[in-house]
Amino acid sequence: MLIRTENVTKIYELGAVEVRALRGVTFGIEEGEYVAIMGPSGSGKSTLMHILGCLDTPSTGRYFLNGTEVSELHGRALARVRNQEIGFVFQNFNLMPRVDLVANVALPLVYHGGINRADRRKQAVSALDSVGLGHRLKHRPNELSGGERQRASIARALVTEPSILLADEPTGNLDQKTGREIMALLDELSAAGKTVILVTHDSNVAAHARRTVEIEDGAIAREGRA
Amino acid sequence: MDILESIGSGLASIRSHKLRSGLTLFGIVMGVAAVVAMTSFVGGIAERIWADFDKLGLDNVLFVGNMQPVNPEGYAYLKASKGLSFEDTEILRAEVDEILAITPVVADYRVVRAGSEARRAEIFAATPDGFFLLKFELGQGRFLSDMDVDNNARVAVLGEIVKEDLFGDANAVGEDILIGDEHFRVVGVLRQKDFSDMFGESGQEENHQRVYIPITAGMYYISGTRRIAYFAVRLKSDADLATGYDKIHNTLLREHRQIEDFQIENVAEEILRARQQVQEIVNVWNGILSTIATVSLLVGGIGLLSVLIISVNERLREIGIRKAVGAEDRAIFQQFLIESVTISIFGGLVGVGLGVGLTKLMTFGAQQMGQDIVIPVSGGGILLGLSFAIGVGILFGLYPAIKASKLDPIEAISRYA
Repeated sequence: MLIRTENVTKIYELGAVEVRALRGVTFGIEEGEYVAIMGPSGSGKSTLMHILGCLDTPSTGRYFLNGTEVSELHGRALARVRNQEIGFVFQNFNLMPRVDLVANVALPLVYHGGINRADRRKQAVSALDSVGLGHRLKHRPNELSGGERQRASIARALVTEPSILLADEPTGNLDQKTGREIMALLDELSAAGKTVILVTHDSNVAAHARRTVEIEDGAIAREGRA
Repeated sequence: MDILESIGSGLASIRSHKLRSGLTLFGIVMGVAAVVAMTSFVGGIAERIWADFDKLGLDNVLFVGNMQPVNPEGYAYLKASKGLSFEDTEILRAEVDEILAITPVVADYRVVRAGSEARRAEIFAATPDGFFLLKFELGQGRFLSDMDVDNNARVAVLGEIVKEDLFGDANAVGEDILIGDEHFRVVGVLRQKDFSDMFGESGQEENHQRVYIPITAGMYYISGTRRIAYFAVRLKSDADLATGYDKIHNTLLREHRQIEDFQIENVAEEILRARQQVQEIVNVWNGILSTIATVSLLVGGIGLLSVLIISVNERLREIGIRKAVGAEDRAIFQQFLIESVTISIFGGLVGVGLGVGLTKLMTFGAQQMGQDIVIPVSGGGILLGLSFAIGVGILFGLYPAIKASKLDPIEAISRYA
């Protein structure tokens, strides 16, 4: 099992009010699976994604990733897990506007440690090639279309060869045609053996996955297989 | 994040916000420029004063003269002793370790002739030590030698002004002159040193109005007695002045049967005190300049701080992205601190340029006002200014860098900035 959560909760304290974003989530994902985590906004799916992506830690419960109990990690160790195990694809791409695509895609390698600048660029170029952006290396994000930006963000997610590709509403900022192209790219990656987790409220997007996990009110409401 | 990229990021931040960076850097630029210009100015003036002291050449020099009686009792008292003698110098030289050089001096005015030219000049009779002691430089020929002293030789070294008056541009060495009625042969001519500005030409010009002859010839042909007018003494440069003074005083008292028929003019002490006074003034100026520099650098630092905080807030999303892809807090901290130091070094370099310009302007201004002075740019000032700039970059970059490194990536990444 690549991912396993045991009764994970997340409680935010907003002044005197306690907000229970997650009320005990237990589930697992096998290596190579293609899973969609679904739910309306406010359901807690974003919180779950942040925990799965090691951007946040559970209030209680345990989270195992690739055999490591990451719910016990903090600071540097958690940053290393993010760097080496997880590739994020964001709805709004989150590319750095001031630098070109190669530098954007090479960014995770900067924090990987022990890779020199030339090798970082080489790996970034090959990741950009693999998503069909080999002709856009020197362009800055604002010189690209939305689809191209999302491809670049996927290239950045892939460049460290992480265990998981974690895509948060990957088509949310794209038109339908471009959205389909991006989903086709994610399908390809899944077919090639990558573990892909989609976080979405869009059932058309979720339909690409082979398993869906629906979150409602901070807990798993339904699970289904395609 | 490697260091080069952080430096590049700092420079990019200066480039993309020229006006803001310019205003921020203004304080640092002015502070560093003030350090460079003021250090150069104070250092340059002080150096010039030290050089004037050196040219004067009276450090560690004492003069020992005969006491003049002021009343009949004093006259009787002084009669009981023999006064300064040639032998005293030999005893002092042998017994006082602090003495580097000592010469007895006999001096009087005579008419000096060469061919048809004549002038009145001070005839200064001393030993070869005297030339060394008074830091004379030789223009032509040679100085007097010990053999000249031993042989009562009638040889003379001319001050340059005397030489010009008597010989003009013609060669003097080897020529015959008349001092009073006695024939002397010229063996050397002094070379005129450049005079000190501060002390004027007075002290040194007279050196070149003199004719120098061996002390023995002086006693025989000029004074006609074995009494010596005064001693000129130079102490070793590392000797304690007070100890040297006391030893000379005590040795002379002993030789003169405890009768104080001599007085020691402690020129060295006066020069030392003058140097200390100058040093105190320099210290006060350095204090003033440090205060000015510190205040303007603090002001510059606060400007830097505010701009860095703005910069962190503008780049929340960038920080969030970096953290999401695996940047540790430390890497973010390092990036922002290096940016801060890069900006402050940039300001420091501009400040150094401005400071060098100001220093050159001061030289130019002084020369326009007819002062023949060059204020050298102080390397120490440049170093000091740049270290100040780096210090400000680190000190005022700390808070923004810590703030950036502690940001929550989820919150940071959800911002649109």
